[in-house]
Amino acid sequence: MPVELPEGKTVAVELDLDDADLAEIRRRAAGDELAPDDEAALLRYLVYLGAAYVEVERTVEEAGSLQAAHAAVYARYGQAGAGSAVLRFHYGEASRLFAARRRSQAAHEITQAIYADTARRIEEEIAVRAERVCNLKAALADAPRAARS
Amino acid sequence: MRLELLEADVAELQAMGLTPPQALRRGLGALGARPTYERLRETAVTPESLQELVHFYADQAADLRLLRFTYATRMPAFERARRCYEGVEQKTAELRRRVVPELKARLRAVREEEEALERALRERGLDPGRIGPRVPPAQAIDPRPMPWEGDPEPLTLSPPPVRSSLRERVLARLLGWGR
Repeated sequence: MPVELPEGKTVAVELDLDDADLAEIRRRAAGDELAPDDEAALLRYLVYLGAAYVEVERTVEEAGSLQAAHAAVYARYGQAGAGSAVLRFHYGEASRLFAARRRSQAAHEITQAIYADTARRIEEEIAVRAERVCNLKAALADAPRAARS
Repeated sequence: MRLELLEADVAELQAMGLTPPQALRRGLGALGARPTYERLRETAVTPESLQELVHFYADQAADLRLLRFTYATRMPAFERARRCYEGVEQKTAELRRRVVPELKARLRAVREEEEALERALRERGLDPGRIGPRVPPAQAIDPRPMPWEGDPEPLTLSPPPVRSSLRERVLARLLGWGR
């Protein structure tokens, strides 16, 4: 039971189900408390569930005795539970961080816009004052002549 | 009817010699016919307890793979959001720490030069107020550096207090120092 997170690349697979099969799946799922409610999640769950049955039944066959089979399946059950807890924790953390970033990103964008606007206004003021500095220098250069005249 | 699965899921099924439809049919066989209570009930090692354990394991493993699918497929969105957030945060920090303080420093220098020229003109009996263009006072930016702009000062802590040695403490107690 691998717990590492694989790449998120998906592939569409054909399930060979007709409408009657889907109706039967829905009917059985209605009487099963552990089945997911969402249809895509339910179908995915059934694929995973079937794979897990095949996997564990092979473990039982290979064990040789009831005691050994019980111990092997119990160990797998523990590993799956621990793996599920670890993954659930990391997924919860990632989701929480995702939501927190989205919330604070809006605040950062507003701050960024305010600073960008301030920078633009400072540049405009510098340009106006630089032009006035040139005019003041020119006036000062003319000042002695004006005083003499 | 098509279903999205992780490439890793399909590879694992192939390694077990299963196709997705075969796995689904096997899972469907148990749906509605398996125990759905929360905890294992059988305590002794019997064929019944093994069967119960098989059902519990299958559900636990399927639940883990379902969670893995959700997490793996949402991970790219989590990563995109992280990169976007860090980009905005870096741009904001760059404006706050470098761009705005540098512009304010240039503005202060231009204002100082402007004021010096105004003084020089007044000394020669001329009115600098007639020389434009002028920035309306209400629109003028405060060029003073704000505490939150520029690089933050590194956090410094005072050194921890020096603890006296055991010998010093015993002596102090015997001699009544520090009372």
